[in-house]
Amino acid sequence: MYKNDVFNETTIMFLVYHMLVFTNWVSDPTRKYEMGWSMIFFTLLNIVVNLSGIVRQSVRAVYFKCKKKKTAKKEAGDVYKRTSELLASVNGVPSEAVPPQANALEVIKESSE
Amino acid sequence: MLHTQQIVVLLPLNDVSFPGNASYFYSFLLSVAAFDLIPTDDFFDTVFSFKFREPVTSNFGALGYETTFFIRNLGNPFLFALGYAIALLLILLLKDCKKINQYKSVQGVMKTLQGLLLWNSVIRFVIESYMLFTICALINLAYFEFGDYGSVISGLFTILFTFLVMAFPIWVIILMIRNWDQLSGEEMRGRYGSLYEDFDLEVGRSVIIVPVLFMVRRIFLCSSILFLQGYPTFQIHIIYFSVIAVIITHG
Repeated sequence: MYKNDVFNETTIMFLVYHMLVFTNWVSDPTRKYEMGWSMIFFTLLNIVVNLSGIVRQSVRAVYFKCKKKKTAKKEAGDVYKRTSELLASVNGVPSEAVPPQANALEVIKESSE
Repeated sequence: MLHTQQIVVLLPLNDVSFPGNASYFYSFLLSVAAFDLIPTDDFFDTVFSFKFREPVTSNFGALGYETTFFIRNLGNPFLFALGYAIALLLILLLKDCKKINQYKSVQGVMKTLQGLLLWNSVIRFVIESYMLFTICALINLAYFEFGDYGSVISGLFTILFTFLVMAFPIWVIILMIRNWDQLSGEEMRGRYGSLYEDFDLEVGRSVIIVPVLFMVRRIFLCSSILFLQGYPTFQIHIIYFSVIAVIITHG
């Protein structure tokens, strides 16, 4: 069972305990009013915890998406750098001469021909 | 989160006198949990000419269930349900109509609509509004009458939605048992995935009890709220035992 479900069910259980105070077992209206605030607190706590979980999940999803994009960009840069170095070592072409937009595979193919 | 809040906001409907602060807070929370975005009371009164009816108890009145008419108590979800029903009817009618389907743009629109509506979003909507449907239908059933125009329309929708509420868990059991082997497949997930997306199917067939208990629990809670007025101890214990039953079943 997920922790979130346990937390939600426990919250309901706490609220039910509050309801016992609202019956005729307790006759003091001031006590009932105070328990009303306590009930509001537990309900708000449940909402805040659930909402924070949703926000945390969204932030994590965005973070991992950005990280994945960054890694892909870095890998593409590494491939380009390695290709330029390879060309420089094979044909004596200086690595700076390779146009940045050149496709690595095409450059290798041309240089081998 | 919304499922819990739907149970929590209905707690003041039990026969227990909540203090003013909690009562006010929950009436505010109900408008959020019940998807009450647009005020519809005056609109429904004009269209269906609802006559004045007393709320079940003052607690019901304070929480927005100001009458016993199903449609008026339901509010916004009734309009959403009507919209869904019309869209589904259009899709099912136009699906086999060759004259209309010959245009590519129409085909595209139909395909998008079918992907959106059949059936995941409908199932999601029914699950999210299940408690509201149940409580509103039970209120009207308890004070059922066929008299003027408003009460006839409301009565007919009550019967329809009561059937939906009672038949939905049975349909879920039959669907999941019959298609158990295909449930994890892409096609089934695309159509009925909303029913079991939160559950681990590898646990076995016993997992079917989770969505069913979800609905049966709501029927019990709403019935106890409505039919056990005057017996707050029983009402409180039914909520308490339902919590324990859910924890045991999920665990």
